[in-house]
Amino acid sequence: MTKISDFWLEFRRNKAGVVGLVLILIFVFIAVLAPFISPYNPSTRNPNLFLSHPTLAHIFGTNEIGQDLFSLDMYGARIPLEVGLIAAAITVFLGLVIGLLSGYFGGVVDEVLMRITDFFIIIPVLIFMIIIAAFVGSSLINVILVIALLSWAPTARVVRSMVISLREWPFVEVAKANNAGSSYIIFRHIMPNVIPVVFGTAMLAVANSIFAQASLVFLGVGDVSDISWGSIMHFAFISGAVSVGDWWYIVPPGIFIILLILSFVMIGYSLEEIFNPRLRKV
Amino acid sequence: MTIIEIKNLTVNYKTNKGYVSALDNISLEIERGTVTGLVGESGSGKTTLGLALLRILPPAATIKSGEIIVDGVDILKLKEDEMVDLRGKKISMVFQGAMNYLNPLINIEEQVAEPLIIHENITKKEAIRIARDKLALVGLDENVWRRYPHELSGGMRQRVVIAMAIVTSPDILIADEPTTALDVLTQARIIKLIKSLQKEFNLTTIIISHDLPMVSEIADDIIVMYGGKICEIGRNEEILANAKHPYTKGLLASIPDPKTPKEIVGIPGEPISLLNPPSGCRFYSRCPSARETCKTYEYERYTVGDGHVVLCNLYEGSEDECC
Amino acid sequence: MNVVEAKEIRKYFPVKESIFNRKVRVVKALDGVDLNIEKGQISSLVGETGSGKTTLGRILVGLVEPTAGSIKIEGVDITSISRKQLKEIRKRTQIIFQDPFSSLNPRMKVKDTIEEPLKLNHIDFDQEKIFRIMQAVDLKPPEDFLNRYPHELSGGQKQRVAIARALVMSPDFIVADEPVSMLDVSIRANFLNLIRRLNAEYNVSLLMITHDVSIASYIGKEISILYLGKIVERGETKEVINNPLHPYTRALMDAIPTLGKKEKEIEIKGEIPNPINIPPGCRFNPRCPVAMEICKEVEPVLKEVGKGHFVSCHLYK
Repeated sequence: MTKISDFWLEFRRNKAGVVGLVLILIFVFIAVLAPFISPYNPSTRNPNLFLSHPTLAHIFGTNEIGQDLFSLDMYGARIPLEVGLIAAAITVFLGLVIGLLSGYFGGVVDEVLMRITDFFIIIPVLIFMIIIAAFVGSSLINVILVIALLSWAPTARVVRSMVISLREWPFVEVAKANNAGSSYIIFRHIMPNVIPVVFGTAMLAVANSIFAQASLVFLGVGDVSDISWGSIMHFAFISGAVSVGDWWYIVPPGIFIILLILSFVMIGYSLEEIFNPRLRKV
Repeated sequence: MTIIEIKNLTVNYKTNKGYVSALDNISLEIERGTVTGLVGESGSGKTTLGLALLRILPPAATIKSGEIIVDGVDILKLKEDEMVDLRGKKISMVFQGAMNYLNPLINIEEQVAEPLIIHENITKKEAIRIARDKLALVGLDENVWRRYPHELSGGMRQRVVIAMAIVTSPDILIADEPTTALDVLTQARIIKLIKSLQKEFNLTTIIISHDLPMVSEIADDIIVMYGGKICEIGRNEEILANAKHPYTKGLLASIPDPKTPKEIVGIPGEPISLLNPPSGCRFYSRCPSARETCKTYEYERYTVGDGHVVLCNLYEGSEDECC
Repeated sequence: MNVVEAKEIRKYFPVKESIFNRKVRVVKALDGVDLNIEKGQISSLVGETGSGKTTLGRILVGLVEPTAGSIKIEGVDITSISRKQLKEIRKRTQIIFQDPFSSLNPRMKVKDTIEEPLKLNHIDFDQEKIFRIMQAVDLKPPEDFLNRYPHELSGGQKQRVAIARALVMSPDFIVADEPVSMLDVSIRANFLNLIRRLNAEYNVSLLMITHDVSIASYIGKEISILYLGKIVERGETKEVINNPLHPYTRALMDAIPTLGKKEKEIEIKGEIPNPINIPPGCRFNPRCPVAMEICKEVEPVLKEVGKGHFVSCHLYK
């Protein structure tokens, strides 16, 4: 218990991190409770209100098929969060596994895995995503997988460095001198010390994933039939609303995306700050 | 003649859990041309004191009160640009582990010349000439002058750092743990070097260290610190033969001497946290002679011999007995 | 019987040169070291950086394989046994490292750290045993410390946990690699006395590795001086300290700081060379104030010169 309350005290000190956490909680709240708190059912169309300006009844106006944009924006929070979190989970998992194997076993395993990692770090991610998405189709699952596939590399590198340093520490040597096997050392000694640091990277991975999904959908490469901020912005363009200057269609979802990404980034930096100096004492 | 006088110096470090009392109401005097050993363990405040003398404390540190009078001038009242004049010129410091932080991209003679170029209005050529002089003085000949730090051994790099510190012919030299990370023979040579430089230039030298034996080989006076406070001040021989403070006695009793087979006894317990420290004597929890009154002891000084001062409750009233 | 009998230990580390360079250079960390430790004896090994002392410690507990040589732990040659047998021997040897900070897993409680060797070796134990060990290393009261994490302990307390962990398997032999160098001076004596006590109580043999002759003189019955991978002098501690024969040992004795103002003459020139460039002949010859012609060409051998007093130097026939 000492550890968790200690951690919370540290976390609270970083104001940016706290702001980020609050924002994320607000977005999650909205996303989860959208069906209950949105003023309209998003699929309800009012054909008389075609691309209407903001009024009290429709705070963000309506889109080209008469749906309330405010409600759409609320529902639009769901997919970014879903994609962000799932893609990040896969990213971190892949990064952890590859970084652990590479760092602990070294030798040929390390060389091979690192060359593969290098490749994924170098390629221009967004372009590649577009190309692959164009090939495998743009369903939600595919989008998640593509994002994860192209994001794990930096995490793997970070994990690998830490593992290489950790495996030389005396407490690992003592375990070896007591007949500890590789899996014991990896799970008992190395992973618990690597995971806290990976949390920081994980938050950044979420931020990246949200951005990637929004970009893909905005460009029309991802599936635009599900409501997400990216898809709203996509239609804002296509429907011509932007050309006539109806900024209330495209700006709010854009701002929400930026806010959500920033929140994760701020938490990520905050976590890194907390865990990195400790690491030197580790 | 006193060259450094510190009066009631208090330095605190701010942390997120409160303040750490690194130095509490420290007062001391240092005579010109002497070697003073500032001895203490971790948390004693000795390094903070060294940094305060140069006014290069880290941002988290605040000098709450006190005066540091160097050659008649209270340096705490100086403006920063006046202080810059002093630093590296009148007062020089050899930092702990400095030998590992030499600039890898600049050759030795240029690095040693740098303080001169900063402080004096001379040409680079002249500065290098003086630098070479000083390098020779510390035992590094022309083979070394144009080399780079990574080409030199640890001992040689430490000599370079010392040369850098004396190149401006300072009045005061502070050396913080000048022998850590060096092998035993090199340590002995560096200490010998410091002593010879001190003698030749009448350099007021302050050696900060946890290694009492090492310091005692060349120090004229010894100041013992514990927990941000001074325990005892006295001449070298007096402290070694006649230590009064229980901490000093404990320290002396814990040092093994290879030539004399005696039992060594450590001081029990561990140093207390200086975070929001308790009142009274900071050595109380580990002191074999502790009394109830020690908990409210205000660190009065008691003179127990010629130039021998102890800050310990046990010696209250002993002034009548001495001298 | 000797608990440890090491003969002709060599450890060479190849230095990675470029793939175009045929010649492979080696760092000869240890180049023919013998070491015997009797049951229940404390033996000191004095060496400075580059002497190979840490490598030797690791080799003796089976963490590092020697390039050549044999090591018998209680009569069993660990360099030529199966992995299964090695696992058995490992139960009888333990090691304590220098840095208390990095000796404990920051994510493991004191309890888990101390119990680890027992769990790894599938040995049953009860809470009582753990308590007793903690009492023995002065972690009192044990209940107070069991559930703490390393960051809640002081340096000295961390090192006590490391010692407790080493004792919990009731080993026959412990290697202590600079166990007090990173502790405050005033508490080192506590640890040295503790180690002496544990040695007497548990009859466990100890190899005390240190660069500090004062520490070695206080705690070992026998002392060996290691220089650049070879033992240059060995003997009963009192004898070697008071009557050092090898010029290096003599220089060390003269150089160690002792209380009191003094002037010292240091005759030894230069610094310890890089182990990658070991001088030919006697390793110490370039720095030796009394080097002779033969010293530059022929390596001396460790010979018994006094009773139990061995030295490796051409000065002595």
